[in-house]
This record gives sequence, structure tokens and C-alpha cells, in this order.
Amino acid sequence: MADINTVEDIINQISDPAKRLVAQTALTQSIKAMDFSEHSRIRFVADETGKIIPKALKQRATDAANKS
Amino acid sequence: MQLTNLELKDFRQFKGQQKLIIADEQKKNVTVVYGKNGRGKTGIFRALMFCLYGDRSLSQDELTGQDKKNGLNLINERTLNDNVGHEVTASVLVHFSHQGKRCSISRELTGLMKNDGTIVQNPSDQDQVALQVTDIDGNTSPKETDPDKVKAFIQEILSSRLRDYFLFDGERIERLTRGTRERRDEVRKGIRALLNLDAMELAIKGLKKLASGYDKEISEKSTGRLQRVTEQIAQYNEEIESFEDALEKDNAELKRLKHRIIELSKEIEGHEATAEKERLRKDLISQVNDKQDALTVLKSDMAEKVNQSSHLLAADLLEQLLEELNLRRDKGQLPPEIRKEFVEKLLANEMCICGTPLDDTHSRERDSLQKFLAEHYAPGLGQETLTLYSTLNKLSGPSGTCRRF
Repeated sequence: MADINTVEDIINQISDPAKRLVAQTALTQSIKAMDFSEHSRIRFVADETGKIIPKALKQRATDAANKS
Repeated sequence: MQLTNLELKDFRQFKGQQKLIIADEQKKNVTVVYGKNGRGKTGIFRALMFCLYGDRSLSQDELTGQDKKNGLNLINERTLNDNVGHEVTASVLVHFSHQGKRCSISRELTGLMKNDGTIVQNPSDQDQVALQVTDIDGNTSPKETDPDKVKAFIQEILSSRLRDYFLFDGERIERLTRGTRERRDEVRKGIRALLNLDAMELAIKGLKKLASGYDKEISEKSTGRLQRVTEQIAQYNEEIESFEDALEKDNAELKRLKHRIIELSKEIEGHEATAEKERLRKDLISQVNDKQDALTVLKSDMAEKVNQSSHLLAADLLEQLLEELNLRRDKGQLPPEIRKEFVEKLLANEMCICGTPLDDTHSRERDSLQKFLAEHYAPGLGQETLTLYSTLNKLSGPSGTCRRF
């Protein structure tokens, strides 16, 4: 029987480090936001994930530099 | 999480201090709580949910609004009644192990019964909660009494969104196994929660919003051709989004209609099944009528047979009698099968049935007939004997009879 993957497992398989970090952050923040009110949920996820983007881009650049 | 025991004090039906030890032996590791209604089975479950999550009601209580916020009265009413006007504390202590750590969580609430009988409980955010953890090496951490930290600890073990699918009582099982739309929705919700699909969808929506925010920023900062292109992209994205929304709605409607079709098909099947049963019923009724007719025929046949066969009881005797009568007949001692009165009438009328006169001109025929009368109608062998003989002969006939036996 094939392994049953969790959403986290699937996200961990994303090869681009920047996309992976953004996806991981988006999911983590979404889990946190599940109990929030309908109005603020998406805004919260977008804001929190937006904060991580510079770090994600930096990570991608570092990885690319290391590979080359 | 593996429960070890529960200690309850003045909680719901459990007056005073009560302890429930959960079986944790290798081979005997199932604990069954059984009892009649109202004896506290759900009370134990409430105690667990209260202690771990601070719940004052269960989903099956179906409370809404302020009632849900207030929850049920969890303090033992007899204890409250014994202490009218005084504060009473109810508490639950749960011991469990998790990933090698031994943990205990206690939660207590206070309340009192007023003189008019009304019960007042402290608000749930004032519950006193304490967590103590002993790690695998036996080191015990200080008691944690911050409700948020205790909540985070429990959430990490079993999220409150998932608890309904791991912690539930018999009534919930009953509800889950009902073949209704409500049950299907509940199972669907459970699967979504287990797979984190809701969070995933939220993450996707959040990312889309983030992307559209960046797009907007780019279009604001860009000029010339780039601006036009970004504006076009934003416009297309909006269109795609509205198409996707419409598609989602159509899919939902399609799903609803498919569901309706299945429901109606089932209904029709039900009617077909009923019609088939009705046809079968009519068939069976007609079969019953046929059988009853056959039974009537058989009964009358049986009655006839019994009638005919009653003489079998005296078969041997009747056989002997018939033989005797045959013998006598051969000897000419039995009257012929012509009535005596008929022969006498012929003689008196002096005319035979063949037209021959029986007067003096035909004295030979007349004498012969007179002789026949004298010989065959001797006293003692009367008409009765003749009738008996005839009957016995009929019985000896081919339809069934003494001779066969």
C-alpha cells in the first residue's frame, strides 16, 4: 500500500526552497487562523505569509549560490 | 495520549471523590463503561472534555448562543443543595501518558446554589487549571497554571478541531452511523479536518490575496508598457477568479442535483419494491384460494371414501355373508331380482309383459309363473334379503371393496 502523505509531507516535496518556505508558512498560519473570524482569516494568512517572502527569496538565492 | 485514570470530585452525578481507573495492562487494555441511562456514562465523558478542553457542554447537547456559552451545570446538585448559599468546588483530574511522558491535568470550577434554588457557576475563563508533566527520565516540571499554555499543550497532542473524531461517546457513534445527510456532512467535516484541507484551502486563498496584493503594487509602481501588461494581467486574473467562482457554484449545484437524483432514484426503487411485493401478495392470496378449493374437494372426497369404506370394519363378515347368499341363490333359495308384487300383478291381470295372455288359453305359461312364484318367494327370504344381496354385490364391485381386502 502506498504511503499516505499529509499535506505537510506534500509541501516538503516542493523543490524550490522559496516556494516551499512560503507554502509551509501559509499552511502554518492557516492552521493558526482556523479559529479566527471569517473576515480576518485570509487577511491574517496573507499578511503573515507576506512577511516571510523576503526571507524565502534570500533562501533561494543562497541555495542557488551554493549549488553553483 | 493514553489515559491512566480520572478523579472526579462533585462533578455532575459523581458526589464526593470518585476515581475511574483505566485498564492499561498489555493484554487487558480496554475499559468498557456501561450502565443504564442517567447513571453517568456521558458524565465521565463530560469530565474528560471539561478537564482537557474546558468544555462545559458537548456538541450533542445542541446548545446555542448564550446557553452554549454558559454550558450545563457541572457541579453535583446534591452537594450544592447540601450547601445552599455556600460556594462548592467541582474538579476533574486526568492522568495520562503521552510519548513517554506522564502528565496530569486538573481543572476545577466553583458555583453555588442560591436560596431560590438557582445555580450560578463561575465563568469558564475563571476555571482553575494546572498541568504537571514528568518526562521519560522521571524529571517533573513545575506546575503550569497558565490556561493558554495548558491549552497549547493539549492542542499539540490533540487539536480541539480533531477531538470530536477521537474522543466521543456512544450517542455520538449512534449519530455518526445514521445514514443521513447530517451524518455524511459530519464525516466529511471530519475527513477535511483530519487532512487539514480547510487550512490548505485557507492557505491557498491567503496566497492568492497576497499575489493580487503584489500585482497591485507592481501595477502602481510600473509605467508604460509594463503598466498596461500588468493591468491586463490583473483584469484577466479577476476574470479567471469570477469564472472559478461560477464554476464552483455550478459544481456545488451539480453535486446537489446528483444527490437529489440519487434520493429520488432510491424513492422510486422503494415504490418498485412495494409494487413487486404487492404483486407477490396477490399471487400468494390466489394460491391460498386455490389451495382452499383443493382442500374442500379433498375433504368431500375423503368423506365419500370414509363413507364407502366404513364397511371395511366388517369386511370378513360381509364377505362370508355374500358367499352364503351366492350359495343360496345358486340353489334357487333366493328370490329373483323381480318384485313378488309385480309377478302377482301379471297373474292377476292375466297378461305377461311380452304380451302373452295368461288366461286359460295359455295355462302352461300361467302355471309356470305360479310355480316360479311359489318356489322363489318362500317365507323368510323376503325383499330385505334381496336388497341386502344387491348392496353387498355393489360393495364387491370394481370401485373398491371387501374383496380387495
